[in-house]
Amino acid sequence: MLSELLKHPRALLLSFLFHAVIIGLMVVNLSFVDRPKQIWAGQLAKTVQAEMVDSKQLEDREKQKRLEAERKAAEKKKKQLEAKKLADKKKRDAELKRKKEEQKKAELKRKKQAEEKRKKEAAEKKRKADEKRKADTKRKAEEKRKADEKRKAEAASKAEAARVAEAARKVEEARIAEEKRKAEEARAAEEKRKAEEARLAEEERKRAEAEDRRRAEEEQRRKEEELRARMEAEENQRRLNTLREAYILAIRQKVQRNWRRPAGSEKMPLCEVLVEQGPGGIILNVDFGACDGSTTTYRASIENAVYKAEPLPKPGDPKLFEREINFLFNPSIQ
Amino acid sequence: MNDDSLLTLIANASVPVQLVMLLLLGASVLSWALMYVKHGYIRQSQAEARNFEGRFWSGLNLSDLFSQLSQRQERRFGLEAIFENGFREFARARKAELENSEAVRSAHRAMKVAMAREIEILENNLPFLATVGSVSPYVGLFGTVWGIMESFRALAGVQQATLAMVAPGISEALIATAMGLLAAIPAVVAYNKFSSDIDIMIVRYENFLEEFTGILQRQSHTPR
Repeated sequence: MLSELLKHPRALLLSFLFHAVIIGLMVVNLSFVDRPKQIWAGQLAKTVQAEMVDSKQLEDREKQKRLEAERKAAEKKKKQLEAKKLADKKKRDAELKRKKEEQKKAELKRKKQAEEKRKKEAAEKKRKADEKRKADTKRKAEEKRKADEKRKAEAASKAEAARVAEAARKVEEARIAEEKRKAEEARAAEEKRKAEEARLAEEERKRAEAEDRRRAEEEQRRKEEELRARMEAEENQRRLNTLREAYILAIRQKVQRNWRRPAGSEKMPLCEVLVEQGPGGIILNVDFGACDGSTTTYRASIENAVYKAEPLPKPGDPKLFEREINFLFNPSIQ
Repeated sequence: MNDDSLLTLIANASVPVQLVMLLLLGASVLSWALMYVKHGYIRQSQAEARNFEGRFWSGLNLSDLFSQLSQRQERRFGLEAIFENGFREFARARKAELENSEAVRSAHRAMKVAMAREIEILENNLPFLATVGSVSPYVGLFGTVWGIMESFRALAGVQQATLAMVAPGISEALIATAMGLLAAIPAVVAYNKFSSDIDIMIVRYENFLEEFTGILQRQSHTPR
């Protein structure tokens, strides 16, 4: 079996690919979703072992632990008390020292402040005298500046009025010109649009006409082709029909040539003969269809004639060959 | 261990279970390849039989048909082979001036032999599919049983057993059964289809053989 499969490596390859795809799909898509947290056997065994301690032993151990803890707590408290006493004494000493120092510092500070106050008062007196002088000069200069400004402002306002009037005139002129231009443009655009529409309509009409013409031509051509095909098929059919008639006729004639009129003058009607033939015109079976009023000897003579006619003639076209042939045997023609 | 894809499950399985899975995978690959080959061959034979019957009954002269066939280079199979063997034997017997009935009988015999050969080629390898179809579920079951056995044995040293302890092991082991079924189902379907197709082909060959013998019998009565 393997040797035959090795002769078809394509099949093996396809099969491999198929399996790879299926496994790939399983790995990518079918990984088991939402599975609860896994507990693996080893892990679990450990936890279980831990729980398996004797309960009495567990209590003893628990008690011992508690006693130990109490003892430790008492010790710790004692230590804390001692430490606190020591710390208090240290604190008191430090407080005394600090107070003495503060007193010294306050004395120094008071002296310094008195000195500073004296200095400040002298400076203030001098500053006030200066300020008065400066204010006088400043007031005079201000008056002069205001008069100047008033003069200048009057001249400027006159010039401004003239300029504004001029600008307004200019703007108006520009507006009128613009409106005119716009109207002109709109008219031109309208004309252009109309021309374009007319052109498009014309084109559309032409295109539709061409389409109609083309369709009509196609229709015509199709009809012609159909007609020709039909005629050809008919022609072919006619040819086959005539060939078939000729084929049946040839068989009938050959059979009738081989027929010998049986002795006696019985009734010899027309007989329908069914012949089953094999390749090469070999006769496989002979049967009779409508054959009213015939005698056995008559039918035997016909059957004999058919077998003598073997091999039966070939048809003009191999397509016409049929396994079963039936024809009308007419004793009066020989 | 939190990654619970199929692959990790397989990788975690014990060695015998893994071996079983590998075996089943191999069987599946081989059976699919075989199905492909067989399907192609049966299709080809059916087409050939149809084609040849059409030609045989088209009224062509038998000796013309025979010479056409013997001119072809490639190997002949199916109805062509049966026809060729029978006709060659018949011609040889007539040349040897054997009696007519003897000639027909020897041709018949030759055709029987050719037909047996054709049927053998058609049925070749089909038992493999049948074997895969019937055995691989058992093989898969074996893997599963083994895996379950091991996961129960792991429970032996534990006093408080929970379902969670055995479940992963059983799940691993069940993959083997799934694979066995996956390998078996297509193989069984293919086996049934192929054997019914082949039966139809055999009937067709036998019919042709008998018909052709009849024709030879008739032809033997015409003068040489």
